[in-house]
Amino acid sequence: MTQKYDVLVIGAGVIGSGIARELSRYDLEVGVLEKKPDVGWGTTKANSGIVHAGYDAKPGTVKASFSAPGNKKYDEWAEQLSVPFKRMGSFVSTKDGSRIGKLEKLLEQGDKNGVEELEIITDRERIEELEPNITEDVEAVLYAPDAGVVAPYKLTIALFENARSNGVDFHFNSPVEEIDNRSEDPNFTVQADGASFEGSYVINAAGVYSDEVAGMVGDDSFSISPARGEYHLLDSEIEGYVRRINFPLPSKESKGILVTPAAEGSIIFGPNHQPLEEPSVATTKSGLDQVLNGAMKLFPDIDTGKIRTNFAGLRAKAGSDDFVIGESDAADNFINVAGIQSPGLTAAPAISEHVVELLGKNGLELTEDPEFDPNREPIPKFADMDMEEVAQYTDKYQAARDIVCRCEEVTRAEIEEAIDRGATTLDGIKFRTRSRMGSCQGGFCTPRLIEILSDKLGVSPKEVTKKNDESYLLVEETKKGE
Amino acid sequence: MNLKTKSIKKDIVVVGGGPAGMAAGLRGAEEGADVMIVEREIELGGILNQCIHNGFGVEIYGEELTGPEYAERFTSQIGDSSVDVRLNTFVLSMRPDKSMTLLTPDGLLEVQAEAVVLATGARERSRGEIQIPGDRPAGVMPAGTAQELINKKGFLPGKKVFVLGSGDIGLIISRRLTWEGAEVAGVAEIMDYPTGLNRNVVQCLHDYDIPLHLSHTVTDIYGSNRLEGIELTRVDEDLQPVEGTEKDIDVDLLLLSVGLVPENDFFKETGVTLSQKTRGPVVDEWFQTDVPGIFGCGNSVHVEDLVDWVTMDGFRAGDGAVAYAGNGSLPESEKEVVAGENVNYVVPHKVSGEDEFRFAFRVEEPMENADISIKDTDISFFEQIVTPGEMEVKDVEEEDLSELEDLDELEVEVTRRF
Repeated sequence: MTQKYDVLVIGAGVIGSGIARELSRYDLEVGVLEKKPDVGWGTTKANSGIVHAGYDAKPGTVKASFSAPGNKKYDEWAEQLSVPFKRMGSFVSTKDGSRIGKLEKLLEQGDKNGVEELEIITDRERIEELEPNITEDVEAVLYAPDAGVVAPYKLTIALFENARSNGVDFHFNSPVEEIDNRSEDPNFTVQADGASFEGSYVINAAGVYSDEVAGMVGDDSFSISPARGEYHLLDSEIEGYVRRINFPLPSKESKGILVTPAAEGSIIFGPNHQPLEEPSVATTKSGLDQVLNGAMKLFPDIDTGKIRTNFAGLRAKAGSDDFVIGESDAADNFINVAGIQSPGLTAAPAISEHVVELLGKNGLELTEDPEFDPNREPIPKFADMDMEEVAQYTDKYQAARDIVCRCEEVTRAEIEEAIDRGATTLDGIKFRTRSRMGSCQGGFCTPRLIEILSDKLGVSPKEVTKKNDESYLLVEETKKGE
Repeated sequence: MNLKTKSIKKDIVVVGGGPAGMAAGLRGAEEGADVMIVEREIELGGILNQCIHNGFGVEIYGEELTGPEYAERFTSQIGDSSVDVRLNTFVLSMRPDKSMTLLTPDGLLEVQAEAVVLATGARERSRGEIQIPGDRPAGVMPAGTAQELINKKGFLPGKKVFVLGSGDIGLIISRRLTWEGAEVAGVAEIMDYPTGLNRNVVQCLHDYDIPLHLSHTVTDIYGSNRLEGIELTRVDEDLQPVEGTEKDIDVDLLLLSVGLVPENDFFKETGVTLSQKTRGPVVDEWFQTDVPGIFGCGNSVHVEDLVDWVTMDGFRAGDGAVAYAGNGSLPESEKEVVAGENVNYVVPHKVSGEDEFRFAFRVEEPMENADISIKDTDISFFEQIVTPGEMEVKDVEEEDLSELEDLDELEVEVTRRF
């Protein structure tokens, strides 16, 4: 059986999900094909979560054209989609007063890119007022009040939920294997995990695999080389020690090791920059040491005993080092949205709108759907409720009186709702509810989460997984004294 | 506040229904106090319920019981007592004035206590805390989590296993997994001595030919989905991996038995001073913290080896709580107890010197023919061998108290007798 769509989006990261949600405003059939069991599990999941002000990118680049406009859209996205987003501003700091020229250059770049309210601060008192624990050696900072942090996985989950409730079909566990394109409509037939999908338009938002997907229609105009970035995540107890997004002066490859509050509390350090042959998100001792040393240059007194875990993410870096956004020269109506490395998260709202406009110019009829609802309700979060709200919530739901994740105070009601909304794995529950993100890292709640997943999905506990079919948790039943 | 938030008063509220909390609560009730035990699980007993091996109770009962049997001795007494047991109940907030908000299966409940005993136990250290790099597959978990999965849920989390850390849980789970037909490829310990009890090294590893790699640690984890293997590396005297000694071992389960940390959230929430060493509260001989009327006991104060000691702590804290609830105070404990030569830490951290007391400590380095003494007194004890893996417990008797009279500080030291 073949499913027919007006637009097929390949990849459900923040870009693919953002585009799908933007398309759901219109009277269209939209399908999203995602190789993993959930949204946002490629490059989206593990990055710094920064919504950059937009001064980094060289004026005239594609990156520059989407950064500041993307940033400006974030208040709307955060409000409509109910995702954690905080605009606390960013610092680029230098300890060497003679390098203030570099900050000035960034400021000029920012002006050209349309970034507002940039300011260079050399007054030590003011620096400390804005960031009390930064190293006393800092002589000058570029302060960008518009920068912020978002929880990228939560954002993508929200985009997915909103797009889905507005009629978009998401097909998970559907890696694209083959694309046939022809000159009459429907132009594309896409094979994914044994199923067949037809589309008039295809959006290639396949992250680090977007060059492979482009290759399926004969487009070899770009290649993606993954670059790993490693991070340390600190215990949320230390929240407040770092108040803004802190960058050192950037190098050619990356913006340096940053130290920032995360949108859901806590603090992260990272990333470093390690070009790889094959995608891998394994962390390394040398890399993690490098990240720690980098962070300590800005915050030498931070309590490293509070490191809770480490992780790594990938950058999808195109050969040009710029975003690749536009119709493929090799196939009409095949739109590449590739090479979306930093500041891709920032740019996502602007890219989503742009791609829809591009489809319109290519002849896709965009009739607004009067039923479109831009708002998405979050899963009620017990840990953030005041006593009045707790009283009402627990009065209403028996399952809300049952706290499963003791560290982050996540109730069974939240976990069951996460599963109802599409979580099928322990990691899917984690990213939606924060269970297993706390100080015990799942030591206490994992057995119960397995039970709840098994009950809700109607499968044996042995079939419950961490993140996909291969990541099973239990191998067999015990002998039970036999 | 709310429509129907109830409010009640208790003499003593014990948070945690494991061995420490059960002992404290039971003692409180025996002495006539109105006691509530708050337990978030569906039954009393705490971690004892998943410890189906025997060896519990040797110190107290002179016999070897399984964890559930040991727990049963207390649950049956509590069942016959006046203790108000609240299961499936979670403490949402705890305040220094000993008032608290509970989330019970029937909704919210406000409780005002005269005295509070925080018997919250400990949690296992995680992979992130010891910063093992590598992939993040399924099949890496704390040993205690595996113990719960196997003993309470009835499932094996892996068939070919490596254990990092020679703590007791790791040793016991190695034997348990072997009985279940899994292969334990080895146990690694970063120190050059085992950190668990010697009897467990013998009964759980040696008896089953499971190799113990001292001065080794896990330096990498392989497998993007399910664990496929680990890298085992020797460490030098500074505990740093020695390059060139890496060895890959194919396993599908890595268990971490790398130490426990007192669950100290409520101590923090009520402003109790914590010890940097134990990460539990600073306590006096009654296990009272520096917030009057708030007590700790068992693993929430410091990580103990034997449940018997935990129980005895619980009784002591229960006595303290009864006295506090009755009188509104306890004797001032002004003598500091400090760690001297070859002593890592001592609990309690202060005593009144007016009453006999027990102190528990761990040494920093293994030592033979050890003299355990309180400096500038004649109080001393002899042990053939002391190691950091085995907690030492000693009693200062009433007749020795006169020796402490003139001391402001009691320094516990361990030196070689000969």
